[in-house]
Amino acid sequence: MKFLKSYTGGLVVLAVVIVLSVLLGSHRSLVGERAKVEAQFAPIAGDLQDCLDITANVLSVAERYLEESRLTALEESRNMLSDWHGVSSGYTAYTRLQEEAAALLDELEGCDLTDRDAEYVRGFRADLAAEADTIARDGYNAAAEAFNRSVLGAFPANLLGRLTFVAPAELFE
Amino acid sequence: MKQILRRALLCALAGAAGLYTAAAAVVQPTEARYVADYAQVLSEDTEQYIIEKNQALFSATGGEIVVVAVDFMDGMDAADYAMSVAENWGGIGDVDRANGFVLVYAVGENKVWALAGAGIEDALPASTIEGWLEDDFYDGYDAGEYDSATRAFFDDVYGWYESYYAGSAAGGGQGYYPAGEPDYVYGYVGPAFGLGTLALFGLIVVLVIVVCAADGFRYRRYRRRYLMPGMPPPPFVYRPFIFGRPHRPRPPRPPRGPCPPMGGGFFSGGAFRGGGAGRGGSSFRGGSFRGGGFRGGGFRGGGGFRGGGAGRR
Repeated sequence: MKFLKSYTGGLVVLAVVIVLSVLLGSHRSLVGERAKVEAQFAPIAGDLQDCLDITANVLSVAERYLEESRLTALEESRNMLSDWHGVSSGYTAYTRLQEEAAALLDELEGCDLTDRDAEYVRGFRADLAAEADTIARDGYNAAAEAFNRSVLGAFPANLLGRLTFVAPAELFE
Repeated sequence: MKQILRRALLCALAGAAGLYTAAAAVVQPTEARYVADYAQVLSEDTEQYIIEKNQALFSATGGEIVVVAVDFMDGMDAADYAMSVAENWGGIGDVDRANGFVLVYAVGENKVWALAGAGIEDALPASTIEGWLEDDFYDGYDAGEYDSATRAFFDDVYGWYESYYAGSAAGGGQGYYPAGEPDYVYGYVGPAFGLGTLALFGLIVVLVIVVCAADGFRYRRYRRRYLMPGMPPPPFVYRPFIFGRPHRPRPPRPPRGPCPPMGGGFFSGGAFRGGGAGRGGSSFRGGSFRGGGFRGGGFRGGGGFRGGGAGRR
């Protein structure tokens, strides 16, 4: 305690306060900025939900023409996308969903569909392609890259970010 | 060296020209705005029809249906071309409602794309657009009857707007009042605390620490000279050097001589107030401050289109 009452002790306390406040403030600022970037993922999240809705309808039509065993791949990929946590895992699940849906639609087009179902299948393909196009054009990845490069990658944020364990924004790819 | 600089300048100019060429690949809006018939395939009647319908639609809902007919898309994907038109034509449809619609097609190559704004893309999915194209556009387009195909497709889209806005497009609604132009521009905001600011902050911190250390050294020397046990009172009061030179108390004034007699009056002698006791050490009270904050930013362009749509790429 005598040390804390001394001049040197005061200087040490001052230095500790300065360092802690810089670290804490930097962490909060960087995490706040990353949260703003992650908030821009919301439109893609909406598009992913749309993909789930469309593929649910694909399964409804496919059930009429194909055996259940042929539908499990798409069902599993839908379950995977429903339970995604994190942006990169969401991308993996989404990519798989698109592939499985395209494969199932190809199979369906080879079946003897009614006129209405054929129209539905064409519509599903167009909607999934539209969602893929919209997601590909979304600005989230550009914003995340800009954050990782210009904010978290620049001095002194790169140093402070590492010291305060601020992770870079995940890319949807 | 001069040659290297010359070559670098030429390369830069060539690059800039290339960029300019790429940016100019998408056609510009016409005076009519709602229809741009660069391929000269639409009749005057159809163009006038599209303009009049759009004027009514815009006044009722803010929606706009833009038709662009070109010969070629300069190697661009049809969807990319449609997005470029949507982004570069200064906003199609209402900014807040994002309810614009774009139809672009090339006459010289088999490319068609129809794109709905972000505000109506859920209500007007790509499958619906594709259905209209299949039912009313592609046959005429493939047969070279662009005028009738365009008009039929336009009617499909316009009819959708009418039903979506519940008849307000026909003028039966309350009318559309566009929002005022915002007085700010979205742009990239760089870090608020750049290298210079942090360097200044660091410099101030270092300066404070150096001043405190130097003053501590002075105080320890003062204490050794005047404040050790058994020493007489110090001749002057210690103060940190930022408060000026050490304050040496003035010697007491000599007593005044007798004053000449005056008629009444009150006289009081001067009083000396000695200096207060010295304070041990110097205390520094730093103001509260926040740790470095960094503001990154994002660019938000206009347009109200997110992509999607349907057609032939």
